[in-house]
Amino acid sequence: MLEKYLEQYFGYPEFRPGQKEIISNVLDNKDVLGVLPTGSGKSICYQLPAKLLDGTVVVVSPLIALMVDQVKQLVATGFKEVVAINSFLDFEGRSDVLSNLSSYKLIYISPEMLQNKNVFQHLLRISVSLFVIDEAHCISQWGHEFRPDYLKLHEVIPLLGNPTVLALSATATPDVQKDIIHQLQVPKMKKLIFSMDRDNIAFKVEHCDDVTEKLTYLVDIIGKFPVPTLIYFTSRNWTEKVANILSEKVPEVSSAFYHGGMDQSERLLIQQQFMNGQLDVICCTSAFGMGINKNDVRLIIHFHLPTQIESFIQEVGRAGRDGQSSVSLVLTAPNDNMLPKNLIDAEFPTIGQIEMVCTYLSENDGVIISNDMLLERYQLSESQWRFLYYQLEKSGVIKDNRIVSNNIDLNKIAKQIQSFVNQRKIHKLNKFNDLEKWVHHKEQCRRDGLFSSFQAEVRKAKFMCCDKCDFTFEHWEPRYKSKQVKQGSWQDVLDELFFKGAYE
Amino acid sequence: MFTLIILDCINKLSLDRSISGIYHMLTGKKSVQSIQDAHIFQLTAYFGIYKRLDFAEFERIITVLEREQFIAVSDNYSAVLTDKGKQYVTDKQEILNQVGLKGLKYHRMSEQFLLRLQLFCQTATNLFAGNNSFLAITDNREVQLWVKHFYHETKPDLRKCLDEMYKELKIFLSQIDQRSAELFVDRLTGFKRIALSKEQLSKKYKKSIHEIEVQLTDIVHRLIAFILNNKQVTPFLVSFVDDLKSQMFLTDSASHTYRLYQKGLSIAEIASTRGLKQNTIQDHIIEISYIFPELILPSFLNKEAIETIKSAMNQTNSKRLKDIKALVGDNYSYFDIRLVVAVNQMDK
Ligand SMILES: [Zn+2]
Repeated sequence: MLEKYLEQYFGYPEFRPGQKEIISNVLDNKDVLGVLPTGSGKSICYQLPAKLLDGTVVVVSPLIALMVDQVKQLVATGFKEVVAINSFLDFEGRSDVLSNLSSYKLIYISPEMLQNKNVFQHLLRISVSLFVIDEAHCISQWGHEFRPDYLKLHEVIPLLGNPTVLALSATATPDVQKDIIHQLQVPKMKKLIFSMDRDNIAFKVEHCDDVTEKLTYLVDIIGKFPVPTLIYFTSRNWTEKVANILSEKVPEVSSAFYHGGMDQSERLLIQQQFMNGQLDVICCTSAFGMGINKNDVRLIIHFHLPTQIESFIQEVGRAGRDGQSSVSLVLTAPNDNMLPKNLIDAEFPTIGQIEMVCTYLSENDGVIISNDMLLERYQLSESQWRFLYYQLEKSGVIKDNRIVSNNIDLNKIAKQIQSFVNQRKIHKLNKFNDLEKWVHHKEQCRRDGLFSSFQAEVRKAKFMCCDKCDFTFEHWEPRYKSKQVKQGSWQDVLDELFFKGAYE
Repeated sequence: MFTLIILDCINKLSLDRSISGIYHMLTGKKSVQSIQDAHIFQLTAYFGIYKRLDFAEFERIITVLEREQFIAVSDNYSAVLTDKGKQYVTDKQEILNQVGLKGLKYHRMSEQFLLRLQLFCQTATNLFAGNNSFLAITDNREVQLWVKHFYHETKPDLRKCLDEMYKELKIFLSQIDQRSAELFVDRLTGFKRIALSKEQLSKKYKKSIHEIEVQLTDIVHRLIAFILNNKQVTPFLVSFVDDLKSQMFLTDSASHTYRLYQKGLSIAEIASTRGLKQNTIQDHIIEISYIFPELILPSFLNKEAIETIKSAMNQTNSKRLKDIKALVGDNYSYFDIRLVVAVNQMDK
């Protein structure tokens, strides 16, 4: 029955593992915590109910780019009653959307916008049938991407009339799962956990002496395997640099780079070329991949490591969604670990910044907080300020966006925050060390090492397993079809575009 | 081409304007002053042709030109061509002559026109091929609505529309150089064929991104001119431009002023109605006078005044308002002089 709707509305002939179970429970008004691996189509779990339920489905998601992508894709497939409410929406667009809120079946909203009083007032007036928390691990301080504003979600649920709640995550360890249920205060939540391990992906780590050796190895592999490939880097510069090197050294393989600093419409072209098979290799930052629907990515290379296992698993999970043999390759070199450590440091405010902000607060009792001014004056990044704001709210120095610092010992508060920062940093460094340990482990099977903290039993590999067990590139025979777009004269291109001549 | 255009600008402006003025003109910013400069120095072709140009990047280009001794930059940030620069511009005069840019005329509509064309091409070819799930190449809502509407009109005979579009584009592309034609089709997205990004074009043709940007604008301006001048040859493509023509000339604010002016309001009245400074309204009047010279001038100045200022202009042979003002004395304001200068530039 559900299959019929899946086909009718989304054109998929069958469900992926987990989807049907989650959907039928949700349609049965049961609160669900669903953990589904990346690439298994989490979003269908609320998109199909949005089509079937009376009332509106509200999805809270911190990933604005992903939100926008999904809305676009839905609209492209004919699901038009969908909208994303986030800070990108300009004032006019927003008031348009808000005044017609009940006409939408599916509303994506960022956690910030959910805190916006005006927006929330409008939400209260519509009938919400299902409340979805996407990337639910963000609610847990022990998850890999803690978002303080997620902690307020439990207050929202009763105000919306206690709709059915669906919390979704691709990467939640048992501890984090427990924390999600605890924080959301939905005690009867049913846990539906599906295995994280991807049995068609083999793992390999290559230890190089330095960056030059990394590049040589990379060029060699790309030359031997011109398969759809994503290469991950932690900096924008590197994506450009390596894409250029590849174009030069392996010209028969088409490569491009992709990062958040590019013009949006140009980024979209690169993304679509990759999906269309016009591009083989994309050198990218973590900005690439979310919302990508490409089944035949065969190779994921980490030129740089992310800061934690969860991100690594998510990125690797973009390979082989069609179940065919695919590979994850990590390249390491001594001193590689400096970059992630710097990234972790940069996530939090410095001692100096904390003290300066606290001094400002102590001198400005009663003043309304101006985010932009504080970001500018104290050179805080968005994430640093979000962290600090939440801590200050928790200690009562900020209430309803107003400073309440009279008779409050801000020195003490600064010290408390500082010690919390240290705790968080240590936690994050430990998480990075877990990944490092995995990379440098002497004998443990890579699949066991990667997945055993997420699930009791790790499945056997469908093809080759890992470099500790049986994997070598010599024995890898990936399936792929290369579609070279012809580079003819402009007449040829025009003929092809308009189905003329030989293309009729 | 882009470097050449900058050199051409410097050549024509010489020490009369700062280099930043060139930047404002190329990006179409600070309209009134820049529009006026474009007219005075006969640089209207380049007005607003590269809106995305970043100032720091522009400065970098200037530094390179200086280092390579094409230009000499003076302390007040104006510049002149060196002998080497002059020689270069002379050698490449042929290329400059072929430039089809009509910035002042088309800069407000060219982006929108191109997006319409590209999005329609993507939409029509995909739907014709039976693929109705594709991601639109642009988020521009106005363009999306226009294409949606236009598609509904053309849907009954999609094949014929595609044939028509193909035919008209082919006629145009056959008339321009191969390289430009290639560049143009590389930017078209169709069914299972995604356009190349500017970055990729830059690699493919071994040109800088700036060069690609300006060349693409050049082609689009040529296409618009071709359509408007050959409507009988391009009956299909005309629909993509027709309603944009009204946006061709005035800034929104200036056209608001123009409407009030037509109702008979004075500058002071317009200023107080709109809550703007009189200076701003004067700027609008100048902007309008470039487009409707015969309309504006007589209502502000009598024949004698016009003649006096004109002869002062000829006498100084200078483009500096200050020099002209020195000759005519206090009888006439800067605004009077700017008006006459504006209208006379149009005569040329
Ligand atoms: Zn193994």
